[in-house]
Amino acid sequence: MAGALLIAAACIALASASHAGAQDASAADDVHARVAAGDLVGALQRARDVHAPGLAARLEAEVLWSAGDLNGALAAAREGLVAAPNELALARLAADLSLALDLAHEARRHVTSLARDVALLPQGDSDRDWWLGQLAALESSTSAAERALEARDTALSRARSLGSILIAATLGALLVLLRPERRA
Amino acid sequence: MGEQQQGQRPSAVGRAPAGCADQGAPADAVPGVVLLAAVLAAGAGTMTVELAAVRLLAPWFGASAGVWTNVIGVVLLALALGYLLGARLSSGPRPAHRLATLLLAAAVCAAVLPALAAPVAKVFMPTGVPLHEAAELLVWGSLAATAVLFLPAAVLLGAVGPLAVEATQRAHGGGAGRAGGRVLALSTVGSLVGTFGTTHVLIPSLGVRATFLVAAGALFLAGAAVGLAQRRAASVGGGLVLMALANGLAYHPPGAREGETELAAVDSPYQRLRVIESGAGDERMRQLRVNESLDSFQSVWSPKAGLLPPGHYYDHFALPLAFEGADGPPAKWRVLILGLGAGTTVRVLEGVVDAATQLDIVGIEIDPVVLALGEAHFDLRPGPGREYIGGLDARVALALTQGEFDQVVLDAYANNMEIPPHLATREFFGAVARVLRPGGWLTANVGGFGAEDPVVSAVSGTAASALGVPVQLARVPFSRNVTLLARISGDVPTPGSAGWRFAPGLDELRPALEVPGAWSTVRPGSETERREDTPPVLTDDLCPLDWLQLRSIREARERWLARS
Repeated sequence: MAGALLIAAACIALASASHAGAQDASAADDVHARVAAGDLVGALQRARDVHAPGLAARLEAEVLWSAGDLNGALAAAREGLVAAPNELALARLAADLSLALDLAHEARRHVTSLARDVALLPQGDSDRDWWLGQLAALESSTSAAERALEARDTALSRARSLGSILIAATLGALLVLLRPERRA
Repeated sequence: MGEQQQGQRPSAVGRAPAGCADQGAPADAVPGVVLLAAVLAAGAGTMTVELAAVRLLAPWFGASAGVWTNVIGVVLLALALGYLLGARLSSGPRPAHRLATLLLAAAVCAAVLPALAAPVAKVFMPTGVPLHEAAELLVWGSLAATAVLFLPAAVLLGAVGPLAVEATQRAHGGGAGRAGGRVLALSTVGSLVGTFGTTHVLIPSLGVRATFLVAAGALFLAGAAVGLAQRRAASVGGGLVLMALANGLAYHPPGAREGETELAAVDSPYQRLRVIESGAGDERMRQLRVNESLDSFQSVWSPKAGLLPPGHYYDHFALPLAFEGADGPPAKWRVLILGLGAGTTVRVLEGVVDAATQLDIVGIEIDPVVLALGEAHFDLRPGPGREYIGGLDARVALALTQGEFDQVVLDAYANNMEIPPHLATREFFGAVARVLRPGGWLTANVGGFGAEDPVVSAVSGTAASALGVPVQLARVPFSRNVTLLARISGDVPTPGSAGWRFAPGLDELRPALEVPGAWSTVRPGSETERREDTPPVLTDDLCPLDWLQLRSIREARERWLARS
């Protein structure tokens, strides 16, 4: 009896989840339609009504991105990843946004997390190859951003040291020349 | 300098006693006129090198107050060292010979500077650094590059004065004061010639590289004259060979990036300007880039007039027309643009204005070369209803402007990201109010990271206080810019308000502005509610915008690092 109840409860939960999933899918379509129609406020509200936290965050980030609010979009993606850390599409979006905002370190974090999750996809999964392609592109962009950041930091450190050394050396030479000359 | 030189002078080198030049000139005596001409040339060369130094570095580091300070500081330090070096050298035999050698060496140094600029600057400013990440690099990089490039030449030029004083005194007698006074006077006159000549004649007419070559040429002639007067033909010949070699070296400021074409590059009295085109067909875009530019641009053009692709703040300057045109186009729309650039705002307004509206525009641009480039590459066409004035500061123009305008556009920037301080004060906004009709609009482009940004907060608060009306801040999508909107004796519609209606054709601006956080209001009298660490109101007396700008960048970085 208890087993039957458990099975019934599981079936109800599954049906409910499936219903929520169907609702979410239709909500996603609705969000995209609203964005296309220029109703970004409506799209944002609809996105926030989505049950699945990962999808909700992704839709919100997409709406904010389409509004040109990259900072807001990344903040939404970050919050979504806290609730749904294994959401591949959200991690990819967060990495893209981090790159658009020149946040190389954060992009690396999202790419690393994405790589870990993609590696868990079963071999032969039709999505796996697509995700590997996406990952390679993100990896390449992130590496380029990291190299640019490293070049900037190196140049800054070089400029600080060399500038300071040259100024100090000039001041030193000045002090030396200020001393009275020794007479023969 | 006097005591050591006078103590050694006659006995150590066997020269004629002071004041007895007519009793027999020393062996290396140089005619006084030659020495003084050399000093004049050295003074001119020093100032030319110093002023052109900023322009030489500008394509990588800009020409901000920080860069100017670094250049002036390094040159002053080098001159101080040069003075002491010259004093040491002058105590030895044959100061005129050493003077000639130093002048020739300084000439060679000045001649090779344009060729060395690119390789040295690239060491301290890698490509691909975005503007908001570059603040520290611009300051430290320009300091290091200035020290590497200009220290040697400035030390040599500094040593010229003491040697010239000594040579003059030994050859022609008189006291140290007399010789020093004459040398200082001629050197200062030379500096004056170098100052005016460099800014007003040499750089605008010849460009940066040729300006350095002219300075090098003047120094070489001075050195050659002094050297030949002492029959030092070999030194002069050597200097000539090195100068010829240096003349063959090229100056390589940054050019177009991959996939871009450079349509024009020119040095104006104010800045280095480049017109860059990318894309093809209807997708073509042209940008006017100024000095270091990094990832920013001063003006933009696309083949079709009207709204630009997302990310261009110029589109927000059409918002007043969007609101006022919601119930039908106005019969006439008169706009004053302060900071016209190459005419991007004109092109946006021309493309969106209704055919029934008569659009009159007065545009003010401080750099006349920008206007010329606008006419050549950005479809900026003066004519009836289009008056474009170059060479005039926006504040001065505002004071001279008569009549009433429906809209004032403020889009004046210095050094790519700094609003000129005198265009952000209570007095300035008061002058703007004077030329706007009742209900007229002020629209301004303010660079900053949202309403909380120190620059945005200070400028918007000042505008609200000066105009006595609420100021609206609209975030520009996909950019680091915020648009400031205010209306004299009237309200700017806000999202959700009854007046939030857009003219047909401009409705595409609406959606992004309705997103939460895209729009905010600053009310007059809210100074105490704003940031405590910024001046409540910017005034002509106290307007630390350059300091606020540095804070803006630092805080944005810190905010993001903290969040991530």
